[in-house]
Amino acid sequence: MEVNPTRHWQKVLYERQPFPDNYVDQRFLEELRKNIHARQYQYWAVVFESGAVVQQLCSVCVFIVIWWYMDDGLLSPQWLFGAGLISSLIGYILFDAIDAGAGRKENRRTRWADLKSTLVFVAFTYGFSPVLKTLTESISTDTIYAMSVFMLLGHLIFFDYGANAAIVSSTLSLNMAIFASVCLASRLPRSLHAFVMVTFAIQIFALWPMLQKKLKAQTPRCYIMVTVVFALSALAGLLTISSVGAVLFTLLLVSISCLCPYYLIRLQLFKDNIHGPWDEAEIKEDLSRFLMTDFGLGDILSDEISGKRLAASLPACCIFGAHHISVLL
Amino acid sequence: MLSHLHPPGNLTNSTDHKAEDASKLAILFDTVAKSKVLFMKDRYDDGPIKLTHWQSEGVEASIIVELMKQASIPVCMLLTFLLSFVSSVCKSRVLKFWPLSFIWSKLSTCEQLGHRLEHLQVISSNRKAQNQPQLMRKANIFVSLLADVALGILLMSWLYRKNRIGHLADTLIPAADHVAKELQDLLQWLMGVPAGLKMNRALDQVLGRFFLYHIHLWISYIHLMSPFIEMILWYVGLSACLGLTVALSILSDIIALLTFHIYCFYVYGARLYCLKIYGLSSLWRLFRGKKWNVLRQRVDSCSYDLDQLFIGTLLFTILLFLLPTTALYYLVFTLLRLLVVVVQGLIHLLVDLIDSLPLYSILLRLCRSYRLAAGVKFRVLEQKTGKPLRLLMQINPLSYGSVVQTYRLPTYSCYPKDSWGSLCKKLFLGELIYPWKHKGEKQD
Repeated sequence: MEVNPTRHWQKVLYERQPFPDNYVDQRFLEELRKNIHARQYQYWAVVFESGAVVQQLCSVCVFIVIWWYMDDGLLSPQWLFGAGLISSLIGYILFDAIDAGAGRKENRRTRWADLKSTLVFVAFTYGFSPVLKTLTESISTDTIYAMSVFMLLGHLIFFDYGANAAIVSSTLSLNMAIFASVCLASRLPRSLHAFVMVTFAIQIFALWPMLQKKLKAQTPRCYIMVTVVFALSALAGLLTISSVGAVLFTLLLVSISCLCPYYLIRLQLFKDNIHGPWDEAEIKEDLSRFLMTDFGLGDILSDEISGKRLAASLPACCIFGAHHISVLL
Repeated sequence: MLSHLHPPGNLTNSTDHKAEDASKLAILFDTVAKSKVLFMKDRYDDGPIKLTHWQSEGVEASIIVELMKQASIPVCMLLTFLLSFVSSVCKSRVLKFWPLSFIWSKLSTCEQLGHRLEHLQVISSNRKAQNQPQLMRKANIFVSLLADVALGILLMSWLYRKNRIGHLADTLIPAADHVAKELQDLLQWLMGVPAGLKMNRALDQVLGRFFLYHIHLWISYIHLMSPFIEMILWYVGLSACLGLTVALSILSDIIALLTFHIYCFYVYGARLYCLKIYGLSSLWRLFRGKKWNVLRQRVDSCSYDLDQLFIGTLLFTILLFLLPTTALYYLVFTLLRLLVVVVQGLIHLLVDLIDSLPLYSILLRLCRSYRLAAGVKFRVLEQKTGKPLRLLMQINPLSYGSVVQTYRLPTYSCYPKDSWGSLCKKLFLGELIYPWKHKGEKQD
């Protein structure tokens, strides 16, 4: 086909143009953009955010330490129950005091509902504790340990740390933690121990993260302080059991809260994402707009797609008739 | 009775003829072979034994047959009257109340008796059979009834000689005791550490004691019955004169009654297991934060409350750790139950066989094979130019397989509705499996 130098190439399919099919225009790379979605992180902000992970690791650590004490008979269940009760009451008051009851009004959750939940927890745990005691008698202790470790790891993996990812499932995470606690509680010497252990598991895995989330949102300074104190107490508890474990745990915490943010920021520099007209089109707006008005489709499509290839959105667009899609590259 | 043409596809006429007029001849012979008029004539009954009276030279036989015909009319009328009376009693309101009708439907003896009653009604009805199949059916039913009763009387004569009933009664009680003893041993084994499985000791003990108590009840029941067993057997044995099938059905019912404890165990085990499986499947959805959406018939994600999650997971853990114990009990009792069901099924199969076998047709095929014709075949006897063609026509008898297939009598029972796959699925999910036949669906 004869190329006419006076005519400019246009990125349209609906006109016959004097260019070969494989023609690449000079302006092709003009629309190239780099790293448009890359975010600039502040080191201390990242460290602050990593506090959630540190807290959860510490929770698991504290739970295991307490279980160890109970199993060895170093900690009486009455004492733990009393301590748990007092800390729960303090936490409950704090929970309302932090935002002056705004969250409660928003959720429309009454105190009666809280009391009912508490009663349900205590009654069911107490009622089932003799069953829990004999539940895993015939199963080998190693199997129980392995199961608990897997479940606690799962709890840590699926926990909602605030990231918006598909893997996050707070339900699954909480359920895994409860499963692990029931497994471990069944190894304890008496049914009262099992009851107190499961109650403690609810406090530390269900109630404590809720309070943390609120603290983090309302009073960040307080949150940092609480995190540090909690981490130190977990470390101290672990130190009484095994010094090697304590050292390893310290290294883990330090690497998560200091090294990992540093690496994240360093690695941001190597990020090299290119964007351009060859990207798959993304339909950002709701598809119901298309369904409502069929006649304005051409305009909408040209707005939305803006000359990008229609690979991803083609199935959606096929519904509205192929003749509308005139802006394909 | 005239011979009857069976027009199924296996109509073969092998003809020997010359190639030039093959197609014409084939068409001709085909039409002849298919024409019914050929088979309406009864001139070719020249077997070694002459049974039909109009062919025998003797007049005596025909007189006897005529007399029998005349005599059968009042007999049939009396029989019809009695049968209609019996069936009206059976259909009366008194027996339609819930517990009775339920028991009737579960006892195979009642089913078999009802079936035989229908047969008798068919035989003794005054109406003439309109066509050949109906006639054959009547004759088949008559012969199979006769054979059945003859076998039953043979069995009875064997049973009532040399005090065999007494011996049977004496062995029955120890046999039931032995079964109970074996079950007790099995339960003791299950209550220990069977095959090194990880059972929950507490639940194991509870279940084991529950079933042991049940066996204890059963044994005391059997011992309470033991003085009457011989008498019961004696009277039940009389029923063999109604036919071998009735006796077999009674045997099947006796087996069902004597293994009632196994059935009970199976039901308890299956219900418990079913409950656990359904509970676990729904709690597993809760564990993952999903739920079953009934309206859309699919699994949706759902946000649960904290207490719901906690109780759900607690129950899930408990059910999960208790599942192996229940599953083992369920497995053992299901195997026992299947054993009983297989034995009962074999007996039912035998009864069905006797019920449905067309004995008269088979006998006819054996002695008078031309009566059941599948077609004819021609053979060239003489072929000379200037003379007419002489052919020999021979009747092709029906094969035994197709005789049985064509004249099979309908039976009251149908085979299990489930396929093997659905049976396995039911077994896995712990749904109850009933060997009972369902009335209403008749199988031809």
